[in-house]
Order: sequence, then C-alpha cells, then structure tokens
Amino acid sequence: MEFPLLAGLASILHPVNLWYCFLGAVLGTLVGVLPGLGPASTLAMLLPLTTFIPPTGAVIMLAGIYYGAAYGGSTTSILLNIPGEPSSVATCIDGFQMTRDGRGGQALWIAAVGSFIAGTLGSIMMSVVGPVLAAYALRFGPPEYFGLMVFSLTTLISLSAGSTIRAIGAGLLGIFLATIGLDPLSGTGRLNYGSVELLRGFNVVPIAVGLFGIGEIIFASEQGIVRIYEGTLGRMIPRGADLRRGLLASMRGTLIGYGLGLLPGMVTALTPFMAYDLEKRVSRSPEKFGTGVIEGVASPEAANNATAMAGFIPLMALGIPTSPALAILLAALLMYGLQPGPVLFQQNQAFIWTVIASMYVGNVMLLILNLPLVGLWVRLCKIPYKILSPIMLAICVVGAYSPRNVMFDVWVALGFGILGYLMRKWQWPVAPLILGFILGDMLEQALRQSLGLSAGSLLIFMRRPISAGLIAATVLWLVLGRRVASRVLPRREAEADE
Amino acid sequence: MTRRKVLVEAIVFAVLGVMSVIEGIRLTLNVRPHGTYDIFGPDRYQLLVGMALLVTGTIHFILERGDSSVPSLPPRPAENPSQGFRRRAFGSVFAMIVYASLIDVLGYLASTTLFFFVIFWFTELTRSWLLGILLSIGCAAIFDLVFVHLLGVVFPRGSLIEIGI
Repeated sequence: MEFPLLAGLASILHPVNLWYCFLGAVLGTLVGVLPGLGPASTLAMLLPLTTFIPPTGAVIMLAGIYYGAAYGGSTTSILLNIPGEPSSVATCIDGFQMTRDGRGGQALWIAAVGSFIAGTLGSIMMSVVGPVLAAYALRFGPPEYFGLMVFSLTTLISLSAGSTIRAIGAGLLGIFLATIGLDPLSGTGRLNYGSVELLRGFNVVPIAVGLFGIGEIIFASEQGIVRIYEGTLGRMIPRGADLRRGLLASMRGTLIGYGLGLLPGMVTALTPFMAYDLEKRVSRSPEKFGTGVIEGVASPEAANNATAMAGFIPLMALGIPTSPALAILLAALLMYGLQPGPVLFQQNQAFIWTVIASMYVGNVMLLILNLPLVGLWVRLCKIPYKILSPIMLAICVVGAYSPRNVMFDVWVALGFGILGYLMRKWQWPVAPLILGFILGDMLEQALRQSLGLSAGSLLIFMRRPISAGLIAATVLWLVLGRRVASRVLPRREAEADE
Repeated sequence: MTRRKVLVEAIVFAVLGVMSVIEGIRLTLNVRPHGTYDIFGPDRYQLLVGMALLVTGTIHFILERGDSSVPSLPPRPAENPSQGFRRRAFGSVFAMIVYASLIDVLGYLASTTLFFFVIFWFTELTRSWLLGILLSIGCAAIFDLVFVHLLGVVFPRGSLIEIGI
C-alpha cells in the first residue's frame, strides 16, 4: 500500500526543501504585513527569480508566500487598524478595538491559532479532496473545460467589487490580450502587425509584474505613511470563556472559508466578511461586535486562511486558478513544464505530494514564527514606503526582464504598470484582467475543440452533463453571486470604516 | 465619475474592438478554410472577442455616462492624494521610463545607479547630493552583485560601453 503523503513529508524534511518552505513562509508573512505589497505582486516579482532554483523548491517557496501572506495580513489589521491585505479588512473591526483595550496580544494569538487551524485543515482537505477531484477530472473533455472556465470567469467577475460591466470589460481585455501572437491551435499570427515580439505574444510574467507590482507600487506611493499605534499588547493567551469562544469561532470560520473557497472566483476579501456576519448572527450578544470581541477576530482570520488554502484544490486538480495570486502560481507551474490538472497527480506524484506536505510544515512554521516575531513585523511596518518602493521597482525590472532576457518585456511591464495604476485610480478591477489573460488561450482552445467535436453545434455544451451543469451554475451564479456580494460587502466595509 | 472619463474608457474599448474585428475579417479572407477539426477557427474567435469588446464599451458608456451613483470600489486613501504624494507617483513613473531607456545604452549597473539617484531625489529621501550618490551606488552595487553575478541574469552591456566610450 502506498502512502504518497508520507513520501511527500519525507521529501519536504530534506534541508533544502525545508529552507525554501521557511523562506516562503517568512517572505509571505512580510508581504502580508506590509500594506501595499500583496501576495500577487510579490509572486509576480519573485517568479522569474525562482528559475534559478529547482522547480519543487520554487513552487514550495511560492506557495509559502501565498499562504504566509494570508497569515501576516492580520498583524497590521490588529495592531495598526491597517489591513495588509484586502482579506484582512474584517479583522480590523474587532482586532484593533482589542488592541485599544490592551488585549492586542490575545487578538494576535487567536488570529495565529485560528489561521493555523484553518491552514492545517485546509492541507488535510487538499490531501483528501485533491486526488479525488483530479481523478474525476480525467473525464473532462474540451466542453467540460470550457464550462469550467466560463464558470470561473463569471464568478470572479460577479464577485469583483464595483460595477459588473467594468469587471466584464477587464476580463474581456485580458482575453483580447491573450489573442495577440500565435493562435494556440493552428499557429496563425494575430494582431502582431509585423512585429516579431508581438508574434511571440505577451508573456504572463511582465503583465503580472506590471499590473500587480509596478501598478500597486505607483498607487501606494501616493499614500501617506502609516501611523503606528504604540499601545501595549497585554497577555498573549486568552483564558477560559474567551479561549473556548475563540477556538469555536475559528472552526466555524474555517468551515465557511473552506466551503466557499472551493468555488472559483470566491475572492478571499469576501469570505472573512461572511464569516464575521455568521458569527454575529450566532452570537448571544451581537451588539458587542465591533467593540473588541474575540470571535470577531478568530472567525474572519480562519475564513481568510481557509479560503486561501481551498484555492489550491481547483488549481492543482483542475488547473483553474481562483485568484490572481494563484494565477501567477499557475504561470510558475507552466514555466517549469508542469501542467496542473488531473495528469499532474498521475505523472508528478513526488512533486505534488512534496508541495502538499510543505503546506503542513509551512503552517507549523508560521505558527512558530508569527507570535515571537510580532515586534519585528511591527518595526518593519515603520520602514517608509519611499525607501521600499525604489527597491521593489528595481526588482520588478529584473523580474520582467529575466524570463526571456528581452528589454521588450520591461517595456510591457512598464506599460501594464501604468495601466494597473490607472485601473486602480479609475476603479476598474484588475483581477479579471489577469485571469482573462491566463485563461484566454485555454478558453479559446476548449471552445474551438468543442465546436470541432460537434461539427459546429453549440448544443454540445448542453448535451454533456458536466458542461451543462457548469453552464447552468454560471447562469445561477450570475443572478445569485452579485446579490451575495452586494449584501455582505458594503455593510461590513461600512463597519470597518467606522 | 465624469462623462469625459467614461467616454475615454468607451473609446479605448471601441478601438480594441475594431482592431479585433478587422483582424478577424483579415483572417477570414486570408487563412480560411480550416481543417474539419477546427470549424470555428481563429478568425471567428477574434471576431467574437471584438464584438464583445464593442458591446461592452457601448453598455459601459450608456450605463455610466454622467452617473455619479455608479457602485464604486472600497475607498482607499490614495483617492485624494496630496501634491507631494502625487509627485512621488509621477516621479516613480518618470524614473522607470528613464531607467528602461538607459539599460540598453549604459548597461545595467550605470543605469540602475542613475535610477536610484533619480527616484531618491523625487521621493525626497535625501536632499544631499553626496549622500544620494553614495546611496544610489550602494543599492545598484547590491543589485548587480545579487542578480547579475550570483543569479546570472544577463543584461545588455550597454551600447556606449560596447563601442568603447
């Protein structure tokens, strides 16, 4: 009898892999702590530089950055009332109140423990559900993949903050950009106007570096320097009823975050608010929420981490990223010649199980690292952005240049940096653009292959049960998803603002 | 949201849509027919994307022109930046453009030094010329050491250096 997870654990305990896991966890926490530097931008900046390390180590490190950022975002939310990540906004509501009351230590402790519970349960689910889903996905043909991608794009668009038509526009812009260069099936050149560079098409790395790295840095440069709260943290471990309520809330938050996080497009910014909302509903004293209750920190933090971990399942088992950061992780896997999806579990067992095992180890590392290093993270927040931003911009240039060693990619990154800045400024969502770009080629292939199979009949998407189900789910989500987002997000954001 | 801004956004979509439609027509005229395995072909897909862009741009213009009640993203502090912070943002863009232009000419090390100097000046990290130069050289040297010498990224040597100036 084979135990691939045990083999994966043995592999991750190799000092080299352990080092990359540690590096990813630390870097992830750092980017989670620093406002204005998200996991997507960090992954985009560092992705090209990982070409110098072995693929398994690189993916372990990048995954560590991704889930480490979900951990780190809570620190600034609790201590400074500044969410390091959009997904940590909900934690600010009660977390900062606890700090004001001299209970910041307890808030940090329950956030770290809640994140650990969510991360570990998420890793267990990945070990169990991932291979099953991958095996099921072997039945998928082009029509099923087309349905899945339409569903993913639709859910992401419907859950994007702001106007739906802008989210659709951003997604279409990504799909349009993906058509530039050689057509994936017949090799016909499109929209290249005689340019050799355009014939090769845009590489995802400079676009991601531009949109999430340069664009975010320019945007964040306009922000003022954060004001640091200088209060005391107080006791770290909560006692008695607080401990029990906090742990139970973490479990509930994990279940919500994980259940919803499996849906493609379920952005991590939304599930913490849903968990907070549920916690308030089940509480015997809902009026105390917003004044510094421990459940108000535990539940959204656990939900945030559970959603982040759940995103690995559709990515690894189906090859579908559910967020921009995971889209960049997908680009990393493709860069190493690894095609995520059912075949990955069959052909690269050693790799996939080492990455899954690294999630268990990474979560333990984060728990050990986070609490003792809280003082260091807070001090890092004090580094002025005017020192960090030039360094990050210079890293972006190297990041954009190094995958193909052409200056054209640096100009692409710069162009998309300005576009990313303008999109943020003019309130256009950036996430649908990068997902549209990454899924664009796959979407086109799936559509054209499906129509080839059916001699041009669109009914093929309705005749096959899985694709018909996914198309029906897409229609349902178009009606339902927007309502969910509009009901939960504005109300909770208003509370966070207060 | 001003009407002019929405108009600019709609025009961008219209231009991209028209580009895509023209490309689709060009492919239909020049590349068709495709094999039986690919009935739809790259041309119709391109036409479809172009039409979708045109429709989206039109709907966006109709829905949002002069409408101040458009649902907006959560407010972020930078939406009303002060002049100083705005200067930083434009300084960053300017420094990046100069930097990307100079890598081919001066090579990586010299252009990176210049980039750091310009950006430190714009962000008012230091107003001392000497300190600015020293900091810029230090940062550029670290970048050169890590990326060029340790990680082996091959940057252009610089056309001026290649011709011996």
